[in-house]
Amino acid sequence: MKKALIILIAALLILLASCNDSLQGVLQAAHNATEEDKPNSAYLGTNGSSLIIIREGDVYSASDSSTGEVKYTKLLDITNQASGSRDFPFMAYGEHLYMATNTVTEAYPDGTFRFYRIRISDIQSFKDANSDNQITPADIPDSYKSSNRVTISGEKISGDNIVEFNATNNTPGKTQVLYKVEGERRSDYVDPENPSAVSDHYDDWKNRHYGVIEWTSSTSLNIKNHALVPTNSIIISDGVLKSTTDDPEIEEFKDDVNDIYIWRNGAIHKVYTGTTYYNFPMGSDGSYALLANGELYSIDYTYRSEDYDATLARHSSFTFDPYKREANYVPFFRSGNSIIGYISENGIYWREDITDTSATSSNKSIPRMLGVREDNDIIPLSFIGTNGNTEFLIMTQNNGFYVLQPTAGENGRGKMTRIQEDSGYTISEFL
Amino acid sequence: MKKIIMILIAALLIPSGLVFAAPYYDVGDQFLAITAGPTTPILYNSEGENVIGPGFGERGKITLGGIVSIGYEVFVTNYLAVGGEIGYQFNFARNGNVLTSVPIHVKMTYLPIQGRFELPISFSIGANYLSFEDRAQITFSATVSIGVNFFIDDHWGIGINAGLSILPELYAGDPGKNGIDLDLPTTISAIYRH
Repeated sequence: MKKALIILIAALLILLASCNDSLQGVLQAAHNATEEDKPNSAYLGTNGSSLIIIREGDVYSASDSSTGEVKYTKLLDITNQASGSRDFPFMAYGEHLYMATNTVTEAYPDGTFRFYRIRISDIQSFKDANSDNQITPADIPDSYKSSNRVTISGEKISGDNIVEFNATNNTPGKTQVLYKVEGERRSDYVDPENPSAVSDHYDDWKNRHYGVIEWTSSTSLNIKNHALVPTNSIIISDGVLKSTTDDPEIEEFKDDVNDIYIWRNGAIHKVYTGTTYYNFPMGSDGSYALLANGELYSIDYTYRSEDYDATLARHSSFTFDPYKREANYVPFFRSGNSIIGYISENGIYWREDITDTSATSSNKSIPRMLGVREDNDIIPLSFIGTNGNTEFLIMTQNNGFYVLQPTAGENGRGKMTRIQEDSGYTISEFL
Repeated sequence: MKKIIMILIAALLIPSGLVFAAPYYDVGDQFLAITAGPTTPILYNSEGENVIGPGFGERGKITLGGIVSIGYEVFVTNYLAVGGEIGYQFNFARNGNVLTSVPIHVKMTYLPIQGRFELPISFSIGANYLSFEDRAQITFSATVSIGVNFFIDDHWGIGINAGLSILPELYAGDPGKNGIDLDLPTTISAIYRH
């Protein structure tokens, strides 16, 4: 009996060695769980003093009202589109809202993917959106047609082979887009009895590409500067991709899991390899912040004509960090050496100078929480702009718009203010 | 006033009489109990912060939950039974997902009052399998409880119980994930004794 008890206790102690490799304990995760994510929200761009956003699946303009609140005006009802067709707003710029569609029409009986734009001021419904309507086939760039990996069969290549289209990360004037292409590929099979014969065996294939939608004239939208990416890539920031699974069908991406790529001028370059990073870079052209394996990195990227130079510098000055959950810190926006970040469930933090390595409690690289959070989860989605007073406007998942003041508030520990009645802030001052 | 004192003394003496009465159970007697009921999170402590009570959509809290268990014990003395118990407990997190706990315990029950009415005082301890979403961990847990049983006949009875469960979640290499949970299960039991 005694021996059995000792063996049982020993087995239990061995099992106590962590089975849970995640960042939080099981009870922690249960207590820290957030509400279910609200329907997808996205920032599409600006239209004068209004922001054009997708909110709960439909397109809205968000603008200032006379009471100081944010006024939401529904522009397009997308969620009620007839099944089988989909018009996809991907960018707002100037006076227009730019759409992708594969709706079957008389002119496009095969449902070719194409773009068009609608004048925002004229939008009342899809049927009315014809006053300035340009339809452009979504051409596959020339450099792709000549790729030595595939041969696209058939005469028609414009738009026909695009079977999936998704755009994220909008900045005024351009939108990055992932699209999937399908077609037929000449097999690499070689008949051993007739090795010189050209194979006439075609395989079904599909590949995902990453491109930028630009317009070459007022009437033409095109996907430019594409590059082949791992199938399960997602766009996570301006010119930054993350691959989430390996892609054994494409040699270059066979073993790529959870790698970070920077995309420039039609080519992608891997800048970080890791299977256990938790968050992703945010930033603007050339400067990013990355959290990986609990360490914070800055990435400064310089593109040269034929190559790139990415400097990965490690900043993990958490020595005096009173908040122990740094591993959940998501770098949200980088401006020079300052980073605004977000710790899951805890709030938004500001690191004033990530290069400060002084061994004091006033170290400017220590994350400092910006203000007090409301009961509802504040999940930052998009950085909108700054008013030049070290104040930043962000759009959140389901709580509207907040102004971040990293150096204001009690003891200079920062402040967050939601744009609402009497807040003193307007959207237009950040545009 | 005198009447009240007399009633109180009588109330105290009756159980004493029962305790020192001849025991109902012999060594080797057994009982099986199926127990179910709600469980209330009382306290959760992690990283120096305390979360008190259950919540319904509030930040940092989990909901009231439920527990069901089955236990089997054998009397090793006239008043003390030893055995085991396995259970399943659930609570809901704020996002609607389920926190699951499976205690597998060694259990001891002391019955100072036994017979048609019983007063079981139990202590159990053992392993507990915790899981939530994609996380899982095996840890320890322990429960103390007190109840009242009433037997309809020689074999079948029902009981009501209240207890206190403690569940520490410990990580040897990552103390930042440690936490301790205290729950209050209040249950009813169906009991078969032989």
